[in-house]
Amino acid sequence: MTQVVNEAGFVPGAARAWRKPWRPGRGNGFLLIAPLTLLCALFVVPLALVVVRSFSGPQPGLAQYIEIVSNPSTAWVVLYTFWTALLVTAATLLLSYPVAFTISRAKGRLLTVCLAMVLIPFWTSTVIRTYGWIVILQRRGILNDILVGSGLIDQPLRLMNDGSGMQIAMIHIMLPFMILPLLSAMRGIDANLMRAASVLGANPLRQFVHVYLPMSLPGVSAGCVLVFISSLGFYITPALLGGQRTMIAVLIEQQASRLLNWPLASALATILLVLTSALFIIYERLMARLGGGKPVGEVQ
Amino acid sequence: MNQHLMADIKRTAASADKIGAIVEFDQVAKSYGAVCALQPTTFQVGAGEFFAVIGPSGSGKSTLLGIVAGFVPPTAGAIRVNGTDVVSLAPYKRNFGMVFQNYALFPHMTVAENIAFPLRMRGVSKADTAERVRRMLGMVRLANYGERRPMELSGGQQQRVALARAAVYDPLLLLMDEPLGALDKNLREEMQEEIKKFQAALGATVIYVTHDQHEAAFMADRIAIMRNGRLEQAAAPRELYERPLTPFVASFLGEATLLPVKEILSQKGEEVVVKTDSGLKICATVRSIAQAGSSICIRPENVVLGAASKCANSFSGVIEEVLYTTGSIRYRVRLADTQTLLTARIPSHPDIALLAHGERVEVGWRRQDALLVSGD
Repeated sequence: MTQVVNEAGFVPGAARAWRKPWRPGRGNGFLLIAPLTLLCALFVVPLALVVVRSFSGPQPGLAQYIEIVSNPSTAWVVLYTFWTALLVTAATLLLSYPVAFTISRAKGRLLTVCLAMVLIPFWTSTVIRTYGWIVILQRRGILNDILVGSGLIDQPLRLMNDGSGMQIAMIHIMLPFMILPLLSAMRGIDANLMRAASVLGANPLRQFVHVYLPMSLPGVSAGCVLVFISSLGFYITPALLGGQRTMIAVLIEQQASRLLNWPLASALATILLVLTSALFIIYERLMARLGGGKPVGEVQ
Repeated sequence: MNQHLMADIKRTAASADKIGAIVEFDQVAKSYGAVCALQPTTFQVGAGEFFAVIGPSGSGKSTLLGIVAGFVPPTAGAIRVNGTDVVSLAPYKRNFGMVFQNYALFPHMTVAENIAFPLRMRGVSKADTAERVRRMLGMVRLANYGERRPMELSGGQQQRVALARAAVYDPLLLLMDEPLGALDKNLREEMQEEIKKFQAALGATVIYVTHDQHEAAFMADRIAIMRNGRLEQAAAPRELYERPLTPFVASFLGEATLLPVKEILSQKGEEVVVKTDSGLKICATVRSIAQAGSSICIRPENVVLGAASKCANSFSGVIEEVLYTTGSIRYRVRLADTQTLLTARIPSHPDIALLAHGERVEVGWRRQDALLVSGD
């Protein structure tokens, strides 16, 4: 086969191909067939079935949703789940900010040690950590032994069944999800900016309020969204530590596998899905409007 | 700049009562443990003076600027600004302006908010702030860019925003840390003129740190040359170039041939005759008592090639290297069969034929153009 070569000595087709910017995936769409099939078969279709079932049920319509809202015990679980997620997010943020700040300033061995202290619990199974909290918080656990033994309190604290133990454990488990996005945002803050603020007349408090805090906000919002959304759907810790105070995920499990009330479980799952997606969309819009922010996925 | 803006600038300069501070450095020193970053340094910067500090990296120029700004506490000494010692003051209480090498603009604020920041910190009223920001944006020719984010601007534009932000509150002293380091050559030259005009319009005292000797010579009223944490010489650019005190100053600012001196044969007033290490007898000029261990400094443009017999110093040599640079020809000449290499630069002209490598040539220079400088 002969190639057409023009006067300049270029193969025209080659020249045209060269001008096109290289992009991954161009013309390679077929590579996505396998993962897409898998995703459809195992995720999209079952999810659609869940949503459909929540509306069909024994009698088609909004019956399951009306049931959830009108029955005080289920409505309360939905509200309590939100309250817990909110509380856990706020507490995690307050605890993580100073920690992340310290790590972001650390160097050398201190940095390695600090990061290990964040990451090792992060890599440890949630089940193990939850059992750890049971050992500490139960009626005859380490905490109560110390408090009663030292005479600070007369009666052991009931932390296991009123939800507070569950919240404490969730805060602990969620800490790395807050610290890591915060850390990545804080390490991106140029130290010269604080110096500049200082020369321009800002005292340390104002340097923090006007420069450091706003510049760490993408990390704050990413961490908050991550922790809040994870907390909404948290299952293991509420199941083991929550006692009578259940969260949505535990309720879904009870309805689906113990009471076999699949329509109600589907409706609860749909509510969780819609609320979580809505929150995520609001967050994305907010960050796009604020400008400087990045979506969660790009922060880490 | 148009007439209206010039009027604005004059008003800015006239309305400020604290502009152009006198800055005195009195035995300022800094050491980190046993490592001395800055030896005791004393000099004065006059009101409204453009004072450049140059030197190789690690010479202490950044330490000096850090001490003035308040980031680095000095180990000893005092810095008096209009007579008041500022060493114990935190940076935010010093009321200086500073332009950083990477500009350090706040990325989460617009250009106007960046410039307004120091005014906000000083509790200036909203209306007054808006007016001053508007005037400053006009001065740096960014009138329509107030609502942009710094990231949306080019390097030169960001530089001008940094300048405006540092000057909007009429600081006593403007500090600049290699502000043009990140710009390309053409833009840098443009900005040099612009900063110069800007400073003249404000009447501000400026301490300007750079590693670029051409930039310093072009912009500064006086230049301080730093070396190994020590101030070698501080003087006007022309004085530094024509009357360097040390071989380091002579070679750092511009080009120079330095010939180490072995012994002083005779001295009569400013006239001195010396013998170099390579055994050449040279008539030179000295401004102080001639010392052993000094060098002869010859600037390349003062070397005469051919017909050098009229000069006090005349030698035969061999061309070792020919280099054409825009506008001039640079020769390296080996002198009188010694190891001594002399650099000569002559203006290029179509009528002048290039001398060839290995060609014998007569070279010379006047007594006034051979300067005896002391020190290592």
